[in-house]
Amino acid sequence: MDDFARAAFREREAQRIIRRRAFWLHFSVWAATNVLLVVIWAVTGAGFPWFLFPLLGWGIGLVAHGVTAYLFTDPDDVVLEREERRLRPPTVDGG
Amino acid sequence: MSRVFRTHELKQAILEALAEHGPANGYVLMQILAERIGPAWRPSPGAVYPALLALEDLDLIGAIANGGGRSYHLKPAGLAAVAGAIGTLERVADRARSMERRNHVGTLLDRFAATHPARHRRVDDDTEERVEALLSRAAEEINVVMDLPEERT
Repeated sequence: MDDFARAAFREREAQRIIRRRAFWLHFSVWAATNVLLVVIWAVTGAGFPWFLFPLLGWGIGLVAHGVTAYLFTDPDDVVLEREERRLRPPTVDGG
Repeated sequence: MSRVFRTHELKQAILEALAEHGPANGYVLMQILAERIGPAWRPSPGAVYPALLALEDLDLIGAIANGGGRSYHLKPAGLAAVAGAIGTLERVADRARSMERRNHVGTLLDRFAATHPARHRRVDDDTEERVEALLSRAAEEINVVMDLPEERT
């Protein structure tokens, strides 16, 4: 693998890490906000569980963010992963 | 920020750059693209290298080891594909230029008016006439620079 290829792999890896950190930041804000809403609901009489609406509505967005951060694969990443497998030296057991 | 390259344009631009420059390694290709497209595009091995691999997969370009790196060249199928790729760099460069944030002439005039050291001084009739004449000449020269007809002052 030459310098240019190494730079490409490093850049893609950095982008992947940033994408995943952004998701966990999003998750933290979602969790903190919803804990606060549940506390407000509890101390105001624990009646109708209205906190579920923002929790689930925002939750859809959070799940979508998680899918793009962890499951969605950019076509360029597919090409790079294939190249990485091709360049990886075979192991003793042939795996 | 919108994207400088649309689908397949990076691959076409690489073919065009290889046709113009001849065989080149990844860094040289990236430099050619950056020079042609301008500052709106951030050069990125993470984008260019997968495009090179895809072009290799399509058998449009080939790579040979050259020192510590790989030098890419057009294969016969790539040479045939260049005809359809000509003009990609110019089109992408035009788009990139349109994305750059540029000041309006009004912004420059406002900045001049807001920062000129004499802006709070009061003027007598004679001075006002001279300053107006100066500004009128400046307006005419701005029209020349901006390629506007003179009657629009």
